[in-house]
Amino acid sequence: MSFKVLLKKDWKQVSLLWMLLVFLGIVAYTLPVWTQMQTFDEQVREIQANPEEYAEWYGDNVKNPSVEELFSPEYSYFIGDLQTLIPYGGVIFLYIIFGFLMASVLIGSERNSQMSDFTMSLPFNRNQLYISKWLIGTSGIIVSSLLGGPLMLWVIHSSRYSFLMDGHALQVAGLVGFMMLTGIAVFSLGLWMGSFGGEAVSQVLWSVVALLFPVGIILLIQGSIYSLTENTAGVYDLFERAIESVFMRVISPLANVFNVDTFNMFTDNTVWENFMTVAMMSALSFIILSFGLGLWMFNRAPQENNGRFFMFTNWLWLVHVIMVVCFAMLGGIILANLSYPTNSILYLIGFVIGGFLAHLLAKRLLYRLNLKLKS
Amino acid sequence: MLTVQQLSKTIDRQRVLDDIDFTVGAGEIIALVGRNGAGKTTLLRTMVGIIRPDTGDVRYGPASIFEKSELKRDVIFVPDSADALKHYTVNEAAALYESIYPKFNRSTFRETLTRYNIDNKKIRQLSKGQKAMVTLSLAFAVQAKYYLLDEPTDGLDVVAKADVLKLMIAQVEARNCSIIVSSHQLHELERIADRIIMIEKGRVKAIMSLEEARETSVKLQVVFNNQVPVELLERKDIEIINVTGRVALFMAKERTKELDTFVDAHDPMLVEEIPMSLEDVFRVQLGGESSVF
Repeated sequence: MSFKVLLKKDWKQVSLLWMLLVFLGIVAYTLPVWTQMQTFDEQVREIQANPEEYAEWYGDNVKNPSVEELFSPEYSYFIGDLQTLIPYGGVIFLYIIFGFLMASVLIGSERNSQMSDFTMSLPFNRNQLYISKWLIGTSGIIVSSLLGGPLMLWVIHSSRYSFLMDGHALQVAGLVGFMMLTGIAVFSLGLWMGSFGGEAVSQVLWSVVALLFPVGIILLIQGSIYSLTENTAGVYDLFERAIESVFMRVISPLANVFNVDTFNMFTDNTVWENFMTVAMMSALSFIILSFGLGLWMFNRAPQENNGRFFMFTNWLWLVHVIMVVCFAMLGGIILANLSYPTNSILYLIGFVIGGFLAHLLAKRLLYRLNLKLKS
Repeated sequence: MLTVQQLSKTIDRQRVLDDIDFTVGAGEIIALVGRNGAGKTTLLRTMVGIIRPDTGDVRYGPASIFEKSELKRDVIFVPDSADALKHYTVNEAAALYESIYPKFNRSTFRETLTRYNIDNKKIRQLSKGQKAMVTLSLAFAVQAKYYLLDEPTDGLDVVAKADVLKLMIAQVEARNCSIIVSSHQLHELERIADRIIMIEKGRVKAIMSLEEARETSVKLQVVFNNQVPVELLERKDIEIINVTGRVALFMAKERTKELDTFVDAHDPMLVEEIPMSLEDVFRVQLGGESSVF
């Protein structure tokens, strides 16, 4: 009996999404590059046709600028630079969507049907089941990056803008590698959420919450302090330090993505070194962390709680408390910011209302929701 | 031998399985009976490691099924629907089983398909009876030693039910495998089961052969000279099935001398013992109502 059997079984479930991810990955890597180059073309044509209109930026010394000159840092990247060409945000957004979808098909939708019982009754242990799912999803992200990334490089290289990449091929490859690691990190997060989210929709909801939570909680704390004290400078400093900390980058793929300075990484060696060490290692650490926690929780998840929003019923109280506190802070911030300057009394009223509504929602979601098909 | 040892499980603060203890020998067919919600499905799911018990163990030979997942090659769980494989074609499902279970016998599986005219379609496109035959045939082609079947004839027509039962008996005869079958179709279990395990509120109420079950309880039809005595109707240890004029048909949980004396004391014209079916035993032992069948 081979482990390949599990991969085959999981492939059957997720093959459509997997192939779609690879296809869309290639599109997301290359199409924006191509359209951006079309925009460059138009701008170049326009400037070359009417150089006098652009003298304000280019000065008199460039009467009939060449394409390379138009992209020179001397002219403050009037048209754009290499960073403008690379579809960093689009690819990561695609990986977030497909990472969560694939993870929810691999675990959540199994839990929605009798497939989960079938899988658990097979002669495999839960570690093997989880690893197989992780490998299938991860392979989709790797294949899409390995096809899309080099294709993107080729598109740039074979265009008239290939000079933008001169001396930067390694950096671009590094950025592709980082996007791939972020994709794997997000997928691992989604799979981890499936280890305790009792069905597909719950798993996706948990994934979105987990992705936003580390940054979100800092924002809520910042907003609350600001609403109560109006200390803008101190609060902003606290937020910035927290969001840029290595700890935050390790526990939040989103914070890690936001902290990558794609603008300067091709020109500033310090930024590049920081990217290769902190950003890459943070993404890698998150993958190890979320994979390990997911494996651990998948092993311990009580299968009889399939269909529930949260499967570890002993810990429902903690989820309940966190939900109430977060929504209370959000309610407080919203209400306090209705007036200018912010009003702490309104904050407290919003806090109570938000907390109460969250309490009602938590009661419904955590204790009553049960999509179990059969007890 | 498959041994279930002091298995207990609490779900939502309810004791769903409570100290369940029994063994399954080779070549046995065991009927698992109990009212809805008694814990039959949970017991079967726990026996194959889908659910982990709070305490207790399920051992196949010397090893625990929860520690050595490879043991599940010989303990197959067949749920009450083929939902799990609905996206597979019949051939794909066979290929999947073949790759998981090394002893999978494709020719046995093919024979069953041919016998019951089942085409290579997506499983979700098959009729309910065909789905049941496919899932059971897949399971039996694995050539495992123990089968845990959860309501295998649920919702099937008379012919399909008979086919399923035939298939089960043929497997036990041919391979000396063991089957634990949970079902509400008591008249069917009666025909095939060697032993009955009665589950009530998560506990094993009784484990006995059908003969023992029949001997424990009694079903009497009594014709009284006068009216049916009110004292009989008020007795707590009997279940009145029918009273027509001077005739009373009732069952008693236990066959006691006190009951015989009581009946004799009321001057019966005729006392006839009616053979008990498994359904009767179920009703009198587990307090069933017609709605539960």
